[in-house]
Amino acid sequence: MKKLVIVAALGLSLSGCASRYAATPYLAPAQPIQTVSLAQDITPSEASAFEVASVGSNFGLIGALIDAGVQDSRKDRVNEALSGVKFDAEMEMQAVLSQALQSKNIQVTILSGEDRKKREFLLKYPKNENGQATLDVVVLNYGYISAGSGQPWRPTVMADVQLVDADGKQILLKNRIAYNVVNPQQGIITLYPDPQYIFSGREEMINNPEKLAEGLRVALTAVAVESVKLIQ
Amino acid sequence: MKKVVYLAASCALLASCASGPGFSSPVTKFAGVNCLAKPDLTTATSLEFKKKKKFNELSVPVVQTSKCLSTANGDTPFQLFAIPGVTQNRVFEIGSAVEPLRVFSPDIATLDGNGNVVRRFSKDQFAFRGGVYSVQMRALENEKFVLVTTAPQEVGKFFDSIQTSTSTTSVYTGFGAANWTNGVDRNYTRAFSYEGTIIARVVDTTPSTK
Repeated sequence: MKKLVIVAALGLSLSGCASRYAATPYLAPAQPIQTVSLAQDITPSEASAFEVASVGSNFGLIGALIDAGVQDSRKDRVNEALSGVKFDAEMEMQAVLSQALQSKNIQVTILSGEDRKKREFLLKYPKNENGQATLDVVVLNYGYISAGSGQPWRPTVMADVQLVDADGKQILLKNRIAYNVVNPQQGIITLYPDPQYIFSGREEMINNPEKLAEGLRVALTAVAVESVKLIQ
Repeated sequence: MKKVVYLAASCALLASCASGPGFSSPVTKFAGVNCLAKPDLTTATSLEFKKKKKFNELSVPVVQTSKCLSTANGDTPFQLFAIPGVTQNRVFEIGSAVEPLRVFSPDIATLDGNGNVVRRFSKDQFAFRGGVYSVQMRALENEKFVLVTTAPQEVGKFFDSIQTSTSTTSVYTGFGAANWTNGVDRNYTRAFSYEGTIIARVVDTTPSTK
C-alpha cells in the first residue's frame, strides 16, 4: 500500500510537465454495446490522506522522516473515521458504475475473479460469456488531498478506465480520469472538485466522518459517470 | 520516508513547468467580416506534421478578424483542419485552451471529402483535459476534415473550477541554493467566449518497437 501511495503521489506531482497521457478514444462498433461485464477489485483497500507540499517535505531528510510519520498517522485516522461510518469504496464504485451503465440501457454483470496483484488493468481478461465487452475501472488512488501546508483538504480520485471486447483481446477504449489531482497530467480527463466538500485539516476531517464519506461518494460517482460517458 | 523524498524531488522538478496564456477577458460578441457560406476545403490546415513525434500540437488564436462562417446559428469564427491520409494509430484531440478567464466555446464536427457533416460532437462528449477543453477521436474512414466553429448557446456562460497545484521558488542561503515548494488551491471563474485559442493535438499511438 505504501508503495502505491509513493507511486501515486509521485505521479500526481510530476504529471504537470513530465509526460502526456495517450488515450484510446471509443469508436462505436456496428453493433451497439448493450451488455457489459464489470471487473471487480475497483478501488484500493484504503483511502489516502496526503499533503503534497508539506512543510516537512521542504526540510531535507530529517524533515522527510518527520513528514512520513505525520502523513501515515493522518491516513490511519481518516481510514478509522471512514470505517466508523461503514464507508466501503469498492461497493460504492460497483453500485455507481452499474447505475451509470444501466442509465444508458446497458445491462451489467460482475466479472468474478481474484483481486489484482497491483493497481493496474487485468493482465488477461477471461472470455466474456455474459457480455459484449468487459469494463475494467482501476482506481489508482482515492482519498483526501491538500496541495500543501495551510491549504484545504478536498476529495481526490485517480482512475484508469479500459473497455475490451468479449474475447478480451481488442481494446475498445482506454482513458485516465482525475478528480481534483494536483498538477494534472496533459491528456487526462480532469474533473474539478465539488466545493461543498472541504476540510481545514485532520481534526475537522476525523470529526465529521459522514461528510468525509459523502465527499468521497460524490468524487467516486463523478469518476464513474465520466467512465461510462466514454462509451459513446 | 522514501515517499516524502520522492515527493520533494518531484516538486522541485515542477518548478520549471509553470507557464500559461495571458489574462484576456471573455468576448461575447462576434462581428464577422466576409463570412463564407461554407468552408473552402482547399484551405484546410493539415494535421500532418513534418516532424515524427509522438505528440504534436497546433494552436490557432481566434479573434474578431478570424475566418468567418455563416451558419444557421449565426456568424461564427471557424478553423478547418485536414485529417491526414493515414489515420491508423492516430488519436486526434480538438478543442480550446483553458485560459485564466475564458475558454473559446467550441462546436466540433467532422466532414467527409465533400464537406458534408459525418458526426458532430455533443456537449457531453467534451471534457477538460489538463489545460484543454476538448473531444478526443479516432477518425472514421470517410472523415477527412475537422471543422471547429462556435457553440453560441454556451458563449457568456460562467463556470467555476477549483484547481490545485504546487509552485516552487528557489531561495539563496549562506549555504547555497534551496527550493521551497508551496501548495496552491485556487477557484477560477471563467466564461465561454467567441475569442480564445483553438488547440489541435495529434497523438501517434503506434506501439514502440524499441
